[in-house]
Amino acid sequence: MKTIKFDPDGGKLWVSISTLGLYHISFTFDLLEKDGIPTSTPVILTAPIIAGDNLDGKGEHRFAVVNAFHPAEAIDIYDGRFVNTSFFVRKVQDDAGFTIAVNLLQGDDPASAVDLGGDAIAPEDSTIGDSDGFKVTGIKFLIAKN
Amino acid sequence: MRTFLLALALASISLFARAQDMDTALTNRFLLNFSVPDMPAFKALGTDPSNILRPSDIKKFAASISPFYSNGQGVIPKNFALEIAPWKLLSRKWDIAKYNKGAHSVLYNSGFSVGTIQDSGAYSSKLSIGYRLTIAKKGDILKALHDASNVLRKQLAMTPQRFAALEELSQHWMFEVKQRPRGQDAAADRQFVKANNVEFLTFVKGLKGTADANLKRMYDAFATAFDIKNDGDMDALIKANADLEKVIDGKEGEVIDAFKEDMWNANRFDLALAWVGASADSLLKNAQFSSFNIWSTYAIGIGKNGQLLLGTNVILPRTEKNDTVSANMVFTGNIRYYHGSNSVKGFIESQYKYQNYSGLQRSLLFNLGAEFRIGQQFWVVAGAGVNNYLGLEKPLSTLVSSVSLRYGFNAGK
Repeated sequence: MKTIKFDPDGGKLWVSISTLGLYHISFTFDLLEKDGIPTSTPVILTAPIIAGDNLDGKGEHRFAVVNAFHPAEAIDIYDGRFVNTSFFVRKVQDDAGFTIAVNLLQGDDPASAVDLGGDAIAPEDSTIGDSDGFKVTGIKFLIAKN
Repeated sequence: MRTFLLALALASISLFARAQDMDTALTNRFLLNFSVPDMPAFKALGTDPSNILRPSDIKKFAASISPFYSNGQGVIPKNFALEIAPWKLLSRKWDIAKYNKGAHSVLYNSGFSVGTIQDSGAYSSKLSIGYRLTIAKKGDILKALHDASNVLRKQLAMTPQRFAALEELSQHWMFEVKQRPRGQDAAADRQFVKANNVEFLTFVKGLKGTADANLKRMYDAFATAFDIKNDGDMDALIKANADLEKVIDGKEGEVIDAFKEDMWNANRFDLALAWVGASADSLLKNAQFSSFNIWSTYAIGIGKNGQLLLGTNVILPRTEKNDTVSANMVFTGNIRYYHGSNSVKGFIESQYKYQNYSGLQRSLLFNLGAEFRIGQQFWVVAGAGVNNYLGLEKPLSTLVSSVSLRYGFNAGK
């Protein structure tokens, strides 16, 4: 699992989910609390969990990374939390595989926020997927302050 | 009457020697299989939503793993802990008198634990080292036997008043209850004394509150001479005699079984410390300080089947920011109630947790669970509950659960 660093004194955090390919890709995104007790359900700080898909034709979607239960929290408290995503992919037309990228951004304005890095999945197989669809292992990364 | 006094005199001599016998019995003969206590090194790793450290009789050697069941799938445990009580392990030649002398009982009840965990944080490998001390009064069988042998010694210090009281009582007892057969051999004679000691004292106990003025006077004389102030003193005297006989006959198993049933929930106090180091990889040389943990738990017996635990835990995690005025701290207070017997019991629990840093600062946990024994050496402890985070703009509750399998080695041989 990757660790993406952010500036504890910087602006708000955003997550960017990008999809590429002739596939119908639906996704969910949630923020997980740090110090998860291994034996217990992780504490999900996104309520309701954010879900969407690429049927709107947009290649990228951005969402605020925020604790829904305490939105006023300082940014440095996000240290140690996890960005967690899951995907479901359905083939629309033969294509040379799909790409899904999840990145963390920082800045008060989502449009001009700075990309801090992230992780991606890109299976290189044109026959991948079928019209019934399948679940793809999601992308999860740790966010930590500089 | 003379015969009886002779018997009592014999009893005095032989029982005095036997009171010594009890004190010289090896501690290894009296090991209890109470539940395997929580290990400080394991608790410090945060594998359990509850922060209370359950006190119990320390094991010579114990191991704990958790979870072997997670989110509906059996998984290979990534975390485990071991606890060793070195002095208990090395106490094979300690007798009860030695255990009760100086700091021996403190050493005997001290345990060291080590634990590791792999999880999904920035510092994925954690190592923990813990120390625990259990202090029990009534629940300590080695103390109880030492006390019993003191009771016997006291009983056997024969003063003229005691002889006089026994002489009078024995007239009634010999007539009404027992007639000592004459001409027995020495072994049978001892048997007679042995049996009569408990039976005689039970007879005397039965005289309390009698309407017969004569018998009442005799009982009072006995009570004064033997320092019997209440029923408890009398029962202690009878029990000490009964236990001694069993120990002498090599039937300490019966003493232990009765003790376990009566005393599994006896009051006890546990104090524990643990240091946790964390590493971004699994190399020990890269480990850095992660937290320091302190627990104290007081267990109070309620009736025959209940036990109430009051626990506190303070965690001092690493404070990373240099400009932070106050150091990081987590405080937890717990109340847990057990109901059941030594081998199977259920519990309910409430926990308040406060931390002075990070996002979710205050939480209230309600937990239900059970602990039961499998065979002689394995215990399963399982719990589930709801954790409510407080002081947020929207209510937030999460389900929590934990299962651990524990093995405790406490055999004498």
